[in-house]
Amino acid sequence: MSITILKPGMMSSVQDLGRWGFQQYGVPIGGAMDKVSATLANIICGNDENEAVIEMTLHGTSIIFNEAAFCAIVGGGCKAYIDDVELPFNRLLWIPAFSIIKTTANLQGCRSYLSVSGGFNVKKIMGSSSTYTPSGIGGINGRNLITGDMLAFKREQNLHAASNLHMLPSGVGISHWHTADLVEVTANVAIVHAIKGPEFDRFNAASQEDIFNSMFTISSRSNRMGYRLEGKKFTLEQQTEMVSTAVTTGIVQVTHEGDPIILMADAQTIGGYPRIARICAADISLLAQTRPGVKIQFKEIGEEESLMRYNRIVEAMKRVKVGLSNTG
Amino acid sequence: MLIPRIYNIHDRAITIEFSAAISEATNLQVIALQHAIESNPFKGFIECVPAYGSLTVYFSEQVSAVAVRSWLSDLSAQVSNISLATEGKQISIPVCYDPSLGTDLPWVSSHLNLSLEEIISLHTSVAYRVYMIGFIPGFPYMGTLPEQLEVPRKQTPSLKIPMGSVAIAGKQTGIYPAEVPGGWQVIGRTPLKMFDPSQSPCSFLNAGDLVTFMPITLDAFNQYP
Repeated sequence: MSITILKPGMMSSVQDLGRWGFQQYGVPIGGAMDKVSATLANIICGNDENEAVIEMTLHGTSIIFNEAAFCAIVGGGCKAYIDDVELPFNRLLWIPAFSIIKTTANLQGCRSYLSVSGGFNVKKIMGSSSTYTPSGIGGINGRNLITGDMLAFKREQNLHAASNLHMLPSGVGISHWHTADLVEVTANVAIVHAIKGPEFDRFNAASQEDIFNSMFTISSRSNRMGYRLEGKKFTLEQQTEMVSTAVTTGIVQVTHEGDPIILMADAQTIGGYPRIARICAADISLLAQTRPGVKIQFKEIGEEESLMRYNRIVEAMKRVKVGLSNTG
Repeated sequence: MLIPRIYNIHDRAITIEFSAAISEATNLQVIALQHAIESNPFKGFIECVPAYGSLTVYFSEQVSAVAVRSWLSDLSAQVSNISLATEGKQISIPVCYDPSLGTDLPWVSSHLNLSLEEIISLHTSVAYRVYMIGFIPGFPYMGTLPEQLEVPRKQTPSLKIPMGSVAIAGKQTGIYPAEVPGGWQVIGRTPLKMFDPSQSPCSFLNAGDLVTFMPITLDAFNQYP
């Protein structure tokens, strides 16, 4: 029971919900960029939320199923096909043996997650299957997926929702139900909620004004560690070196050149740049689905609203899970 | 007593900042607080990240951020009173200071007007405190370097610094655990592995450890088991 990567596309890697507990040794949390979509893909397949999934960045991926399997695709950035049949996202899919899933361009979104029922059999390194390429750990040999990589399934597929699929002539099965889209994917301006960062007060008046009142473009020099933003430059009131302290996903730090960088999933654990803002944790998945070239604007919120928004996502996920367990 | 600044860096992570400067006393306090939390973790606690003058605490949705914040505030006030006897391990690290491995030795030597022998003798003359591990997995930030050895970072970082490189910058010294780009001046190399995911802990050094460097010959480096 396995799949084989025929083409990795722009970039594909094995991820889960991250490698927790080792940040004091400099090991980033990492994991799926859009953890909401990765979790949903697993929930749809009846898996543990932390099962390894394949993160596909944009399009061009091609994967053959060596055996028939239940799977799900959640996220954005591509459309998925088997021959001429477009596969819907957010639904449980039955894929016949020797089918090839190919992804093509979609203007909206940036990353999609493929899960299989039962999960992929990927060795855990320090408690996680997440690929972290700078240290060469996780996934398959600590690197992104390449042509020929085979990922075995963990176990026989036994599924709550195996019932009642809509069967297409090609043998592909699609569940009647689907889960809600919890991540709003946009091709236009992404509105991202943000809170003043720990060093906000150290920036000059113009910078304090600009961060919440101007538009930025996500640079093509962005990756899983961070999104570079193009737009206004930022200046400290007084140029002083900062003593390094912990940073994490969502921190907006400003380099010596004045360019903001939003730290993403593979963010290093410690940083020495002033932090002008931090993104509400509930909006990280939205950012992960926002591709280079797209404009973003920060909308200022307070600590309390940020927590409320985060809790709302946590609750929404719980509802999806409960809802699916009641689905026949 | 220092009154710490407490702030969120994430909806599920709070930083207690004792000082925005590098000092051994503050770092001792950071490690003491880390040990106090880890030895008696609250419900929902995930992990601590010590830095020079701050400790960051990650927690799950099992606990409210407001509760964690007030609990940390109380605890950090107590920690300044409790014993700081949380000394780390004392570790001696072999380093080969041959210019074929310490590739920036010629530049450092001419910049500081010191001979190779003087550089080695200065670098091995003190015990360094590991203030924190970061930048990349297993990279120790250590200090304080003798003043005569202070050099600036490179104008343009090197694209590839070999694994095990021992380097200096400002008041700090560090060891590159993997081949990565970096801006510190490389003065030697250790045959020891600083990061090994198959070991527990995965990092050879921990925040709070005391490190001394022991010079070894190129032959000894090459024959290291």
